[in-house]
Amino acid sequence: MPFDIAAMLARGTSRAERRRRRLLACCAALTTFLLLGAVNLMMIRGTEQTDWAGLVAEEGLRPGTALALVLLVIPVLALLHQSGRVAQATQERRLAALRLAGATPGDVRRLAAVEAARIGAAGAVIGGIAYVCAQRAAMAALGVRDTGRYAIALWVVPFVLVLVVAAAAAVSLLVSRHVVTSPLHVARRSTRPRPRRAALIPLAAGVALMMVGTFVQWLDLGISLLFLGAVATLVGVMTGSGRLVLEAARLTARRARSPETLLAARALEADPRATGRTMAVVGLVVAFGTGAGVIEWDVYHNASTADAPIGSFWLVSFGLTYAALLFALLVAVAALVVHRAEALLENGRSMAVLAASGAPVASLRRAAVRQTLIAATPVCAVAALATLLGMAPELATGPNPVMAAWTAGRALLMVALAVAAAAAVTAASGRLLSRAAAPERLRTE
Amino acid sequence: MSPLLHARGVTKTFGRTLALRGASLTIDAGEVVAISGPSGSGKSTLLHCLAGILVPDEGEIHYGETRLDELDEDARTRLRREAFGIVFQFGGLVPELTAEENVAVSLMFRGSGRAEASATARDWLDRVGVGDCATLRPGELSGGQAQRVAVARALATEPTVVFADEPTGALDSVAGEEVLGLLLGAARERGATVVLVTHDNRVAAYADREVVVRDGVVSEVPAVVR
Repeated sequence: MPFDIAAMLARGTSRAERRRRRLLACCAALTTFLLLGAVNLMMIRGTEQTDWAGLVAEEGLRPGTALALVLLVIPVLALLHQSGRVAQATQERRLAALRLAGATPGDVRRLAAVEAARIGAAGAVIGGIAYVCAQRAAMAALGVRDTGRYAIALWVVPFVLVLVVAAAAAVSLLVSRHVVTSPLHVARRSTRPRPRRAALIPLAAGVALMMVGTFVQWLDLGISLLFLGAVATLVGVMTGSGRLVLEAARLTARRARSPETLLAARALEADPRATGRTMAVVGLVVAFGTGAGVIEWDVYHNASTADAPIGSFWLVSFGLTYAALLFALLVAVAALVVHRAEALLENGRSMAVLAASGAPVASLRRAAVRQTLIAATPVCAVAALATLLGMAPELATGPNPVMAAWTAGRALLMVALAVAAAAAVTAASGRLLSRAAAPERLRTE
Repeated sequence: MSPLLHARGVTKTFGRTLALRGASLTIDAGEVVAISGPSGSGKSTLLHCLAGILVPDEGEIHYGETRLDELDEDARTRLRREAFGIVFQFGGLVPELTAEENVAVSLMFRGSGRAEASATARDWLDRVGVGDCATLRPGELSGGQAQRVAVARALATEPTVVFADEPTGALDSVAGEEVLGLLLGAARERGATVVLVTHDNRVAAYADREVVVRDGVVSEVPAVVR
């Protein structure tokens, strides 16, 4: 039954709905592309000597590269999740009408999952084809002779496609957990618990493990602890962002002197999880960028001490790291825009009433930018600080003011860049707000 | 006496729908005027044009000596902030702000400091009988309480004109009468002009004068009929 109805619903949709579907398909395509890349790397055997393609050609480095590709799926999943939430808001009338027509809440959830799987499948197929074609084109352009060794085995592709389609359906079901669909309306459950302080424990544990790891010299234990600590720190940034956003919002709301700041802080306080999720990805970018800064310092320092040029392996690796960070940041800020759209869909009418009552739309836009600043600053600052603290013993072992200044400066730069990117994207999405606050929203049916 | 609000030959279309066709209306200072009419007749559109929320396609809107339809968006926003108070059918409160903050934020947009705005907001919430709900958010208020907060928000800025678009439309008759009594009582006490849109004859009966909008055209309801 859900398949038939989903097919019927797929016809005759609005422009906004079509845009949302394209976004979902893009996320599925990107996820497929990245996962195929990771699987492809893990299936290559042996090492080939190369100056610049070590991350792919050297057996010992491939798992790390594959892991990096898998990690890049996180921001895409965040965007997918956000798109799913905005779907619930845009589909409000349709879902309510289905309930009125006799569908149970479970039917509605299943329908949404079937629809997500269908769009996910389309995106995954596009991503799969794009990967195979892009890989062949890249190998031809680079003059790779032993193409069979590097090309992805085609039998793997369907497995990855199924995984992505299942993930799309799972995300849809996950999102609809907090949505109540009645025959009269669609609402989000307001009784969701606030993010707890305990959500910050992995962050603290991660920093502690990294610090201990840098001191332990026994066998590989130090490296293992360092790796575990880094993973726990990243998990901590993900789980703790909501709580950080909530604390920052509460503090700001208490001290707010302008209506813009008050509106911004209270909006965050009301739903810190949604913004926290998006900001977590921005925080991850900052944490990775800060960590990469420490490694960069090591490489530059060693090269200058040995009076030797920096190897092309490192230059390529740094370039790829920057590209990955930029990609993650772009996807994260795209998720932020989708989050703004969702918030405006839900609360646009109260914005329109404020504008009608004489609140300048420019002030409402400023409130939106401040909302992003209040959320992004603590998350990014804590992510950078946690990474720096985790590396602190290493930085302290050989007291080198230049190294400390470099890493701290790099961390600051990452925070500034991430916060500025988030704020700039919010400011650029002001048109959404102007539309949401337009007088037409005041008309009742 | 020169009219406070004057609309002449106002036409407004939404896409292919003609909402107002040459509507004219004059409202004096201190008057309470009800704009009634069936659903879709254009009464809310007329109110939005009079309040400077919408700009008519044709015709003129005067507020005192000011030609409202010739002002740009910023000037109209300033005017609404300084001189008008607006109440909508569903309150339109900001869901994330407390009742007190919803009232205070209007005052803060007018330049008041937060402490001063909060004190005035509390005073107005007490006056409309929801002082004990000051720290609650709109989702925790009943429809009547939320509408009282909306009334407090509209009146706290001490406007010259209060525009109310179906202020009791979402309330039961008892709560509706209470809200209307509060709104009109406070406005009359201050000598404010009230323009009230309603499709309920009982609500219209509270007004000094009633006009009907039908198919986008305004006609006066004779006092004898009311």
